[in-house]
Amino acid sequence: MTQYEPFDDATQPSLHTQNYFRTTLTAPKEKLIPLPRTLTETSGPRFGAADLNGVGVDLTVNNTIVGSRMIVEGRVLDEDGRPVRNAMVEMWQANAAGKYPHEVDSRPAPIEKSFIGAGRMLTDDDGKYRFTTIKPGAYPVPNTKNWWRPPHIHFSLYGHAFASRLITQMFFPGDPLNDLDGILQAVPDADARDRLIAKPDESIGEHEHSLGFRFDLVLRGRSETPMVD
Amino acid sequence: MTHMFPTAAQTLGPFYNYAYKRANEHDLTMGGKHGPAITVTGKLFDGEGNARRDFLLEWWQADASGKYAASADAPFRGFGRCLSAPDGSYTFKTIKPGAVPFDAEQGGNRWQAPHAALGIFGPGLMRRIVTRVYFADEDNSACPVLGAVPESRRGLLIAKPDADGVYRLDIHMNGSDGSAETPFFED
Repeated sequence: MTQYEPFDDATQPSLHTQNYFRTTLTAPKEKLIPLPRTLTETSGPRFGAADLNGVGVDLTVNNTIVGSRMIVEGRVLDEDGRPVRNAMVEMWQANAAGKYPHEVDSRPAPIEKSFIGAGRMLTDDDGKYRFTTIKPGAYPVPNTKNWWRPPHIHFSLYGHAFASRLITQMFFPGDPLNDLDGILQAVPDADARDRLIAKPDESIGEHEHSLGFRFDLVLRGRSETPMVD
Repeated sequence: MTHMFPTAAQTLGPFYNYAYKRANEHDLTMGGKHGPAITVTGKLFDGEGNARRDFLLEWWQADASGKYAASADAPFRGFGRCLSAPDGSYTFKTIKPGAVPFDAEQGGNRWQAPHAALGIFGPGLMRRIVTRVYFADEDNSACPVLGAVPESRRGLLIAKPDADGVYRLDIHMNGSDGSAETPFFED
């Protein structure tokens, strides 16, 4: 039976972080109440091909979108390194100018009407997902002195349990803004931060067409009983 | 076997993509008759008492007999999601879940009162926050999970039907404004 242990807090951001001013008004002040894992948390929504609903895996719209074209590929694994099959993976991102196709993003920057900026897919039997997009641009965070988010892609994953739900962001290697980003740096453990940074991989990109990046994700859940110190 | 740490969560941010939104994502009654339809609605507030838009609320519940769907083909899938509207409101259309075993896997015979798990993501939330929705017209007195919530705060998890039979429950993510903060559980 799959076990869903509490997160190791060093590897996850705190709900209350000094780096991200918004948390003071949204994260609960009261202590979280311990909850034993019940059927409610160990079960979870399952998805199939009918749920993809026309949202595809090529955001470049037949190569008409401006920006460095790239393919992102990776595997979704559990804590034992086993593939999570039929996990629904969703991603969304800004365009190359750092502009989101969202009505709240009012910053003056070029938009492209044909850029939907979102993809949805299911992992295969090997836990693999893959999509084609352009590299997103950095953008300034409103109401800050001059904090710019480094280029990143949002990921949303459903494993097989309510307890294995994950929303995160993928960053790019070598970007100087990574070290200044209050959201990435809110993860205390350096190795855990590093795992949010995609790795360039020539075997993924296509010749004279696209860059390639590898980004694997691990969802909560393990079959073995963890060692107790 | 090598242990791998779960990937670190990051905030949903303010720009969750509308391309995902389907008209029926908040409606769990699609695809057949599974019980009398109910509506659960309310508003989402922050610590300044502002109703907040563009937070993602996810609803997970058992069917009317207390069983959770185990595949995408299940007649009642039990899952819905809703992006809070510009006025901070959320709505789920669903059916009443049945009571769910609490400790059957450990050989016990305790039951959880009918409930839905509610996960919330949004700008200013670095991780998901998790709460539950119970129903005022059910017997909630013996639910071990509700029983773990301090008695003075239990009512904050219980949706109450109004004159039209619509269940209402507001969610206060942070009580800095003096509001009664919704109880949240460890995720």
